[in-house]
Amino acid sequence: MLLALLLITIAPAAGRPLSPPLLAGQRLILSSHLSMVEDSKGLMSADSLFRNPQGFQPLTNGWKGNPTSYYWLRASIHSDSISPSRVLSFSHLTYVDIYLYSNNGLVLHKLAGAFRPRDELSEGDGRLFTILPLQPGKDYTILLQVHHTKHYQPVFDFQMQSKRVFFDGLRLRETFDAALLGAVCLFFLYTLLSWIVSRFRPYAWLLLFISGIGLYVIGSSGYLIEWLSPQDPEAGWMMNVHFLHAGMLGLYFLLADFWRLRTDFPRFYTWVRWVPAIIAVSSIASFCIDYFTSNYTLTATIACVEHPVMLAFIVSALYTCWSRLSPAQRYLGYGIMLCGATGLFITVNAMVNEERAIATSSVVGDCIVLATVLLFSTGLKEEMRHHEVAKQAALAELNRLQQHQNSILENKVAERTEELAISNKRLLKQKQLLGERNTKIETLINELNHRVKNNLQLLYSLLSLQLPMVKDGASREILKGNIGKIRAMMLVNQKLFNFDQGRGVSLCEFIGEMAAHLQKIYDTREKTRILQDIPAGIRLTDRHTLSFGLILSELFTNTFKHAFKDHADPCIHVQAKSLNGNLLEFIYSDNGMGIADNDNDERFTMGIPLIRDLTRQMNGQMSINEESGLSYCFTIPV
Amino acid sequence: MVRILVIEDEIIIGRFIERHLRTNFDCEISVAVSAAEARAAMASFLPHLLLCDIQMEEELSGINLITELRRRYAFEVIYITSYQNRSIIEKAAATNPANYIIKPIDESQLFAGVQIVMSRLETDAQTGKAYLQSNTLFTEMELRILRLIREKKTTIAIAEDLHLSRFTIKNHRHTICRKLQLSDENNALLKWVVQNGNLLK
Repeated sequence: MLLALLLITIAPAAGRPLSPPLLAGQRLILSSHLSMVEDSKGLMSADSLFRNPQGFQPLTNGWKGNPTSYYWLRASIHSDSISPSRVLSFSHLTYVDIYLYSNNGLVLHKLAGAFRPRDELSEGDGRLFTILPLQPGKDYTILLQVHHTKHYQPVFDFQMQSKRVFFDGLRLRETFDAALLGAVCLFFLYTLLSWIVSRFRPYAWLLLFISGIGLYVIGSSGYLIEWLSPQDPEAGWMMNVHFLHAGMLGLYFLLADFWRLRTDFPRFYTWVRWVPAIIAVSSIASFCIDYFTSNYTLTATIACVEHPVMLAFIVSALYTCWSRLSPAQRYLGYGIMLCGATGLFITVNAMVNEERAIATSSVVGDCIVLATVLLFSTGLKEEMRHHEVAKQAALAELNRLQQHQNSILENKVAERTEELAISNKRLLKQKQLLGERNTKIETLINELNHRVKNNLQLLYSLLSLQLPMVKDGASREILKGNIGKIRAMMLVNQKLFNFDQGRGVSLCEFIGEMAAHLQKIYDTREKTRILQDIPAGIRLTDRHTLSFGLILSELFTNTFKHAFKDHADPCIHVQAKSLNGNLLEFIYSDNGMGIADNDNDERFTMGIPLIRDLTRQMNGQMSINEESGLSYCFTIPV
Repeated sequence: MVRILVIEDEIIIGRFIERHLRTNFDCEISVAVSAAEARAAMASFLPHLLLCDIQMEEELSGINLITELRRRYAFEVIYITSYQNRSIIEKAAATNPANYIIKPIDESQLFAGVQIVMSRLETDAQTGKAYLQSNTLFTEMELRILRLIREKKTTIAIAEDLHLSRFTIKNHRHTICRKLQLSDENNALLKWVVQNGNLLK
């Protein structure tokens, strides 16, 4: 650098013929040797200008002209004998035609420039440099036609170096760029992997930021054009600013997401959510301007206006959020500060140095990406560590809760068991009480049964005792009838209140016992034969037993009292059969005298109506037949 | 003469009650030994007074039977039962009986229990009748008109109430008079309604 400065200060007067006994590694700044003519329409030809150099003016510092005019530059060279081949290089100009004249005329015509398609370049040349194959010890005139289409004021920073030195420098720069790019790519990969593994969204924004800024840097250095669109460099160049915008978007979203602006700083967020829109609008505007007018100066100006907006956003974000950020988030804050500072630097640089700032910004951009990524990664690691710690704490808490829950559950189980035991005890007690009650009821029922039996027995005994005292015949008969009925009741009672037997009373057994008892009362000599024809299976229901017993008692009483007056072979025939399962047919007959002979018999004032009533009560039918003796036929539902 | 229906499933007890009432009161008596017999007797005999046993065949069937009969007939009821249980007495009271006689019964209890009710029945013309039902003599519309007449409404008011023309109402009134065999004049029907209003429900 010092050497360069020295060279600039001791630069020879403009327009002087160039006789560079250049040492290896020295570089010659051509600007002080150039003279210039402006060709606003591009009508002049190299040949005419070579022959008529009168119009050329010495090049002065700080001149101004129409940026898009054609300019012709002229310099005379005297080549030395040591290393004749030279490289002519420049930094930004879009179209440069190089004419090399010797005394004999045109030696060489080459094309160069940032926007030259690949196939217009000569073998071994780059867009921003060209090889001049000078013969040793000869004089040359170089004519350069410059057309800078980017609307920047063209800067004629032509340099000449020996071929070896230039390519060494180029290689050095490329190596440096490659190293930086490699580092950026590494970070990119690292971030990509982190994103895939963790699915933590800020990584995605960081990816956007890295790729945006990285591509911008690659594009600014011209590599992207070389790789992707060598035939249309301008198109490749146009994309640069968009990469920058993408990077800015990435940075914005990274900040918004990682600092949780939406939830933690909602008021601030309502203002800053327009930032992406501003970036998008400016991106679209830039594209239109570049595509239709190629006015890169205007684009740069827009960017310079836009950068303060971003800066303001960054500063306000830092100012608003800083006090409430976690340490991890603060790391990103440092990165953002760095970005802000860089942005400020680049903007100022661009305003002062215009196009020349691009060269520096690429390196600075790379560095800033690296720094930001490093800081952010540190922050994230910090965050992850915090997460881990928090997770551990949460797990411990969960564990504790689980244990608490367990103990509560155990308590509940114990309580429930106790309750169950209590209720069990209560149930046992109830069972005991029920048992007691049951025995009490049983005792009561037995008592009741006993009383009923006893009372009936008392009545029976009383009437039986009184029977001999009654002398009146009719009264005796009534008393006997009643004794018979009480006997029937006693029998029914005895049959019904027998717990162990099944429900109902066996008809056969019942009739037999009734007949025997009544015979004892009326037919003391047991002259009468009683024939029974009753199937064993027929049973009487509880409800009907008493009525049936009373009917039987009435029938037997009637027969014994009235039928067999001096009968030789008294006989009573009792039959029963079941009719279609739910009807019982019962036939009672005697072979005594019928009704006709005893017309005014008392049994027809009291006996038969009672039998009829009782049959009606049983919901049955009854008929009387007088063919031989007296026969009653009953049908009773069972 | 007062008509009495004895509902008692023990026929001998029923006969005892019948005999006793016959000797003490000037009345006609019928005995029913089951709910079915009681229902049949109600329609033909139209008793003024029922003596009903609560426990017939199944528990409380007497009360259920009375509740059922109350819907169709106008009568007084005396329960005869061995139950002294408070809740059963309350249930029986819900059917609005005239008296409640507890077994075992003897002649004097029976006389006292029935006498109170008999003296009232002899002066009261409200019992011993079946309520008018829409499916027997009158249509539902005629019954509605009769009820409105009972509320002392004129033919015009009735027409307004039922949203019918007053000629339609007149027509109905004519039909009713014919069915009741009344002379076709307004006062005859009104008198009938005043006397038999309670049968309209």
